[in-house]
Amino acid sequence: MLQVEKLIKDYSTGFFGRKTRVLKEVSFSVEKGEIFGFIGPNGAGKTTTFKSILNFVSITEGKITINGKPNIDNDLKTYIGYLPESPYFYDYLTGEELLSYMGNLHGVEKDILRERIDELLEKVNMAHARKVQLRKYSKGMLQRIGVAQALINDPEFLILDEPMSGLDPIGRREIRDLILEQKKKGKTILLSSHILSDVESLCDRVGVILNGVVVKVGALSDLYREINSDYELLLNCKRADVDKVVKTENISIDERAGFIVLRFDENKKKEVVNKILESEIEMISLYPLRKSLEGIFEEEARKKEKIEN
Amino acid sequence: MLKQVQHDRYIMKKIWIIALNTFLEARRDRVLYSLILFSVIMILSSLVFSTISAEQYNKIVKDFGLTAISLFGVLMSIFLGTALVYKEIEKKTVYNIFSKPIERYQFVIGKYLGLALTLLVITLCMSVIVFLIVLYVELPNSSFIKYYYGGHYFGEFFAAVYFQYLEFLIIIGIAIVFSCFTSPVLAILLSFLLFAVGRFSADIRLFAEEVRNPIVNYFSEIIYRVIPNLEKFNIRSEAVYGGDISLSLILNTTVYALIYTAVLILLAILIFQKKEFK
Repeated sequence: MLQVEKLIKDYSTGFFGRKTRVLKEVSFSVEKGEIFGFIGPNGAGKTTTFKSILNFVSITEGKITINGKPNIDNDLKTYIGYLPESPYFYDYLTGEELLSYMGNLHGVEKDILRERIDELLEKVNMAHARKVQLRKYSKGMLQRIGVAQALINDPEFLILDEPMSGLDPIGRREIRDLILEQKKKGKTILLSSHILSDVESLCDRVGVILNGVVVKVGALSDLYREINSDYELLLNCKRADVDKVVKTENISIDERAGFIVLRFDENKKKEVVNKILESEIEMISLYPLRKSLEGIFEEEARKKEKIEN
Repeated sequence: MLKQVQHDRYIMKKIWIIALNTFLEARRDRVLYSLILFSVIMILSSLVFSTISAEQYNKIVKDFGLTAISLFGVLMSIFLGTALVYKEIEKKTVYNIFSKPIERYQFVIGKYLGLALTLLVITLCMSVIVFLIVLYVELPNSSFIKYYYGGHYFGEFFAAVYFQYLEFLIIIGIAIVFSCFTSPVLAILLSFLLFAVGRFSADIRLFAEEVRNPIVNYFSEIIYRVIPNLEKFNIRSEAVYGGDISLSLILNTTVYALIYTAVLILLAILIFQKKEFK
């Protein structure tokens, strides 16, 4: 669906047009029918990549194709739905008017448009505010109407820049369901996020961008696997019981709310769990301590530094 | 052939959708309403002179009315025109527009036409108000026929309003060019400067001829040739005191305005085409 090859983007800044390289090497592809998560910390180049794909900015070097056609072909946008990062809209329009305007720009036929507006307003839970001007909308409401306008042309390819931002947990779940529903319909989705938990239950594959370079592309599970994760084991017993069963080197032991919590890394997992199971100690839970996205980024950055050195 | 016609209609439709939204935006703009209110107050303030004779009074109302239309029309053209494109970039609403199959030239033309439509409605409303006041004052002491043949120059009055509108078209063009590459404050200043030079370009040339300095002459000639001569659109005295407004004058002035407007829109498109929406 989308191919981004060796994308480089320089911005001229200041009076003398000094060049700053925002994207240094961005390569990834999004296959038809998949949900691709583009993750990276703030300022890594996610939005600039999206702006390059949509031809809002010219690219310095590289190649972007959508369905085999160069991205500068404006007709492609008939099949694309886009949600900008923290969406800004015409605050003098009502929710309904915005959807109508956006649909008209897409050339959606009148009757179909009317039906679709009703349907989408219901879907994003905004039917109650359809006649309210956008200046009175909260951030979460704007995000919802933003998602609705991205779907107004029933697009084949959805590009969502931080679709979960500004939403409460319920809103996040609703948007996640909506994205999954689009996938079920066979649509292709590219979304960006700096919050890992938003993408992990959603994306088939992810691309990690750091300082303008895509450092990794693959399934999120592979990404996790590569990074050794610590585990926490929650036990209902006394401290002394644990000492009797497992060797405590490389294991940290804590007491928390009357439980004993063991913390160890991947290598120790099998040994410790087996020992506990063999003993009489009651095991409450075992869960991986996922590193935060920032942790992963730091690790990737460290690896990269090592290679460069 | 049929496909081409459909395609052209499709392009025009997109431009029209953007124009209508720009018109809607202006309609919901509170600044615009306060400007309109001021202009109506200015027109009505001419009622102060109602103690003098009806004939004199009509002249004053027309003069006042045309001046008010000109003053507030120019203000609206510049204030709304300079924000036209800039605001969309600044407020990041361009992302919504250009993620749709819209070409940049369609956007610029659409924005231009939207404001031109706004100014058309405002100019028409204000001129009708002036016209009604004149009728109201005349009604008690004159026959109906006299309105048309009694030296009121209503035809000339509406011709003057039309000329005035042509001037607005050029000023909106100037404002939209600046709106494509600079902030509203600077764009407003530059637009006013160009407007002032345009209004006085003939005087500047006359002045240069008096000075007889080759450098001054050279520059005044450039100004006279490049910057539109906005005095061409001022036929207020003909509208108030009567004068010959021939069909050829109307045609020539119309063509003059349209050519300038087209060049300005083209310039705006060329600038906007290169714009990066960071």
